[in-house]
Amino acid sequence: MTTSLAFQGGTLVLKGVPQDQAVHPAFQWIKARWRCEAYHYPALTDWLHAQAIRDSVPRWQTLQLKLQDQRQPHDYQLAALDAWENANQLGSIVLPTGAGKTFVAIHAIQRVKRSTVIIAPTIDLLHQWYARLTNAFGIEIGVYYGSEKIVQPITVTTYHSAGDLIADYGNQFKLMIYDEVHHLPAPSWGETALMSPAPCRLGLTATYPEPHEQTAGRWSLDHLIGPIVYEKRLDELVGEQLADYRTERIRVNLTASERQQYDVDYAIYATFFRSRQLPRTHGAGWWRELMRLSAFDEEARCALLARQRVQRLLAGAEGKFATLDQLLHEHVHERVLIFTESNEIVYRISNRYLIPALTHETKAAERKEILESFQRGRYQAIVTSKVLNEGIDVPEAKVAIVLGGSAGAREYIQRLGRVLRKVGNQQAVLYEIIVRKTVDEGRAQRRRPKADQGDHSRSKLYVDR
Amino acid sequence: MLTGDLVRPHLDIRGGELQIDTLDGNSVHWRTTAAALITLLQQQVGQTQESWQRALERYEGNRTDYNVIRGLAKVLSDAATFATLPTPVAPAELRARLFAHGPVFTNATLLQPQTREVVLKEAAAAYGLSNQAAEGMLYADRPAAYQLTDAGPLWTPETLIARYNLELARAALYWADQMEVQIYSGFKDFWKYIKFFKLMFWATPLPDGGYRVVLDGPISPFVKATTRYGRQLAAFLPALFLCDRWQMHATVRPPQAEQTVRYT
Repeated sequence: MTTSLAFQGGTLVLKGVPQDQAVHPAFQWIKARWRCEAYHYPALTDWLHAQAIRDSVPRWQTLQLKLQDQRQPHDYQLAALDAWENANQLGSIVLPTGAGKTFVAIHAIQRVKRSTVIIAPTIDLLHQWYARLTNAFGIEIGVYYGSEKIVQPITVTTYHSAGDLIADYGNQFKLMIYDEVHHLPAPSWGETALMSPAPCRLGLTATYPEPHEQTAGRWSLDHLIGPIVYEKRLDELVGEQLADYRTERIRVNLTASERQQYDVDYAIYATFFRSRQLPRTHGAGWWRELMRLSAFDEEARCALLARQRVQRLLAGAEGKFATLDQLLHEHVHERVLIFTESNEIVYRISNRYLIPALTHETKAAERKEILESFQRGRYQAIVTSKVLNEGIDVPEAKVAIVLGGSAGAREYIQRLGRVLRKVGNQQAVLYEIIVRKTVDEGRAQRRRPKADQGDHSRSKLYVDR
Repeated sequence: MLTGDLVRPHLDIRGGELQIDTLDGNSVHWRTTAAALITLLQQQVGQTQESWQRALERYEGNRTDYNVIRGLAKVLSDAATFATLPTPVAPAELRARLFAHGPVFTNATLLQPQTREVVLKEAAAAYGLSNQAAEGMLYADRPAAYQLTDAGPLWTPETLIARYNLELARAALYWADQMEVQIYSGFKDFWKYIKFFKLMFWATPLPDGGYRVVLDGPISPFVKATTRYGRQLAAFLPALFLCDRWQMHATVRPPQAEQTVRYT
């Protein structure tokens, strides 16, 4: 009987090899076959050859790719690509938002010239990859996610759908590209890398996770993708590649009645916190503990509700809207992006100023129409909640307005990157509107150290109005 | 199906066994709650989804058993129909037209002479609508604006609680990495659904004529923490109910458990 190795649902199965035969240590005897996870594949090829076991795993194709885009890579992009090739086409490239990670990936595909799967965190980014790849290579690009499942030699998917795609088609791709690879350590998302036999892997991110964030159970990023092969920080590129920008922080006051309500709710929440000292007893898990308590402890439930009311009040504070109104008047003929976390507020702003809203609710066709119309100048402004958080191209925007908010440092850098893309020499400006003497201020402070990396000492300009 | 956050608080792990804290159908408290929610939904017929959410929030108040309330409400709204109402013009088309003028303000300025009112009026007139109608249509296609057209089956507190308990039982399988069932009839449908959900199985005949079937996904023997197949297994469970006589136990690993536990 001939022996062979086959791909099955994210695993590799040895066919025709009995239990008593010695095999490569990666294999385990499970359900009457020798099996292992597919990511062992590159380590197995020599052994397969020596044992004369037929290798029926790879189903990837050699592609005749011709770049339609004649733009030349920048020096740092070439350096990144060379570093990746020298590392056997395994590893991550760390570049700041706006430094052309997609462009690097396109050249990586061009160098490998084999079937490739790209995994992106959101459907928006999937659409954007689809557009960029179609333009770059001029061939049919596959997309695989909730509502569309078309597999092509070059296919884009989301972290969510990657599991299903890899389970069925994992052996059809020789190169795997993980966009925003810092998401990979999440347990079920990391499995997609375990399930693929792809010998070439590329991770892209602006914010490589700290060592303690890299491991989720058995695996780490280095284990699944390879180490960082190239890294360039934002401050090394500003001026050279990215437009300069300044941040203006605008502090507004609560109205008398808002202040009264805020103080009452904040006191409920703060009193609860002081008396229970959850962060001391539960460390970083205090939030979960509060949630757990709120299911039977009336005080905890009230504290949680008070916190929600505080957040709603801050998101909808009148002062923020008055300032927004002013800023929109000031920049009436410029392309403006407005960010707020609250969906409700997004639609309120959209309605009030008659500007398009982009949220997770926006359908793909309309989203495309909005972004394209914004770039062509048919729309002057966009208001959005979350979907533009990572790497959506809106290079036309020169003014961004952030309405306070609890976004973490990482999110904030990504947001800054949105207005950073260089168009001419015009300086971009990011306004952050926060409410004075509330938790808004604390959040903005915590964010500052990392967000400042980009404009340290050059254009640090915080204006208090 | 219930979402994970609605199920987790009802999982009870003791000595390696998973129990589901189901609702006591005889409890006056739960019957009153179920009855109140059923009435609440019926009152909402013709109202928007947003209005239903608001009403629920008001009903919840600061009750600590909000998780059960939301679970019961999820069962209710899953069986009900929220639909978009037909509009004379597609809201997206109206938006595209209006937004080309934005940002507009309440008062005319030097740089933006058209006020919001003027822009809206022009667009409304172009479609032969009143200002008010145009205003209302702007985001009529958002899920929040969907209207409750049908409140679903005629629930009683008993049927609602029973259905909620069933949904809880099924949801425990979200975290399953292996499931073992014994079946004695309905084999044909059973195999059909196994194939349909792409499950890996291992069947052995039982001395009394049935089969013992061990189910898992190809990667689950390696990745013990996987939840990828849990969803498929949970969806598969109704296929079991087609059989007359069956037994099931599964190893599950709910988020709060360190080890896998058994669920029967």
